[in-house]
Amino acid sequence: MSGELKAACESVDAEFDRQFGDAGFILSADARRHLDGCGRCRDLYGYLFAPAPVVTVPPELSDRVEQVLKSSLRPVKPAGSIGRIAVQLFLVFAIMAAVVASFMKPAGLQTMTVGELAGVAAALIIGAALLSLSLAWQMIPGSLRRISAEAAITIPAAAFLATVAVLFPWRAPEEFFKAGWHCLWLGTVIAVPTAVLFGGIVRRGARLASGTLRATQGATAGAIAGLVSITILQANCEMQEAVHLLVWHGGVLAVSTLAGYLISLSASGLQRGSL
Amino acid sequence: MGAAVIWMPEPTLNSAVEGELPGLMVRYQEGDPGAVEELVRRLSPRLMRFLASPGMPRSDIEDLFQECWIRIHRARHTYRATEPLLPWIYAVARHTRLDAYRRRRRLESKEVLVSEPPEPAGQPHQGDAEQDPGRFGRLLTELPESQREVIFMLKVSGMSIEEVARATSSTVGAVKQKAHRAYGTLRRILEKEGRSICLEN
Repeated sequence: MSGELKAACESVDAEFDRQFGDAGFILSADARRHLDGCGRCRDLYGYLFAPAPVVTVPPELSDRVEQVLKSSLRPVKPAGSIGRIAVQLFLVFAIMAAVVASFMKPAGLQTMTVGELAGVAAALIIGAALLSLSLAWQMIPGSLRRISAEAAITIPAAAFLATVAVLFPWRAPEEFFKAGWHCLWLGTVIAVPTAVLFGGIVRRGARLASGTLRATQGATAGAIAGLVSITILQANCEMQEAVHLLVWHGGVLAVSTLAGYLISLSASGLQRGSL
Repeated sequence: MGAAVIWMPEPTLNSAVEGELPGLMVRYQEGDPGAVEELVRRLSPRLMRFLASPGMPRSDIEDLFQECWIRIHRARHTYRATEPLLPWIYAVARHTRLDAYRRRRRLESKEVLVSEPPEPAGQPHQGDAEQDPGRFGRLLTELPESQREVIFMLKVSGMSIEEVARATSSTVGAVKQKAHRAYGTLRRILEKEGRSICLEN
């Protein structure tokens, strides 16, 4: 193949790449001229755009399916929009955090500076919003996701850790393990019912995924429950020092996310075993 | 050039008929038995083609097909009339395929967790002329499954990149990347198979 022709083939490839997916697109005049003379491109794009083979479904199979569907046919209420579900999830986050925090001493709020409070509040609110949106996308099949579920879990964690590392003082914490264990334990205890609550809401969506896909859903629910715990700990904990927050408050998020992942994975395995 | 028509994707349903699908789905949600019949009639060929992996016995394909419709039935409340229907249908079908693959693997006593659908078996379906995947179908079996399903939806189902992203629970960027890689692989395969004879006259 001459260099000139190869370059022309590549330009046709690029044109197809750009336009593929737009039904009924029209090739440029240059590309058409090239296709007239190039067997390679005619062959390749002939395959790509040849009519698909016809598949017929046996009538008895269709009838059987129709009967099964009609036997349990009843009106259903369509799920809300993604935005509405996301807002509901976010409200659960906010209400849980506010209600539980209101029963505790606001020592953390009194210790933090305005800048620290604003920074950590922004990180938690944005993180919760992102996780709510991700969970809503995972509940509704065919949703257009702007970011992946994995990124939606990673970004809030990274945002919290970065905010703490930048805004909070790096001092040698007192009673590092004793106070830390208390925060980790309290945070985990709060995260459990919260995660159950989020799990209940998620079950209202399509329960299609299994295996790692369902585990990702569990991890997302665990992560948002972990953020509820962190929010409460931030309001309640006196030790607003970077090392304590990174290790123990961040640890709550890690534990709850991992627990959500593993529990969903196990549940999926049990369900598989019962099939 | 007389062959210009071959550059047009050929969807199974024309766009006017396809436009009626969301309305049928809404009637299905309202409990209309006529809508069930119409949806099953219109969507079943697409679903059957999507669910059939090369080498899979006909009986398994039919089981998978029935299971897929039952899942559609159970999840029908999650469809919203403002959204396109085909990505929703394919998203359900994709989960059905994935779970069937996992079950098959379990039966083979190889418990492997996957987040992507199965690799194709690489053998064309035997003994049923209408299931012959054709030249294009055989070419697709050379692709990794994640790329194959993207090309299938773009090419066979005539879906847009955004619709494929919806159906595969992915992002538009990830779909574009998979499609791009798939074309590259197809080009390499064709060239390797000696179909790259250029008519340099």
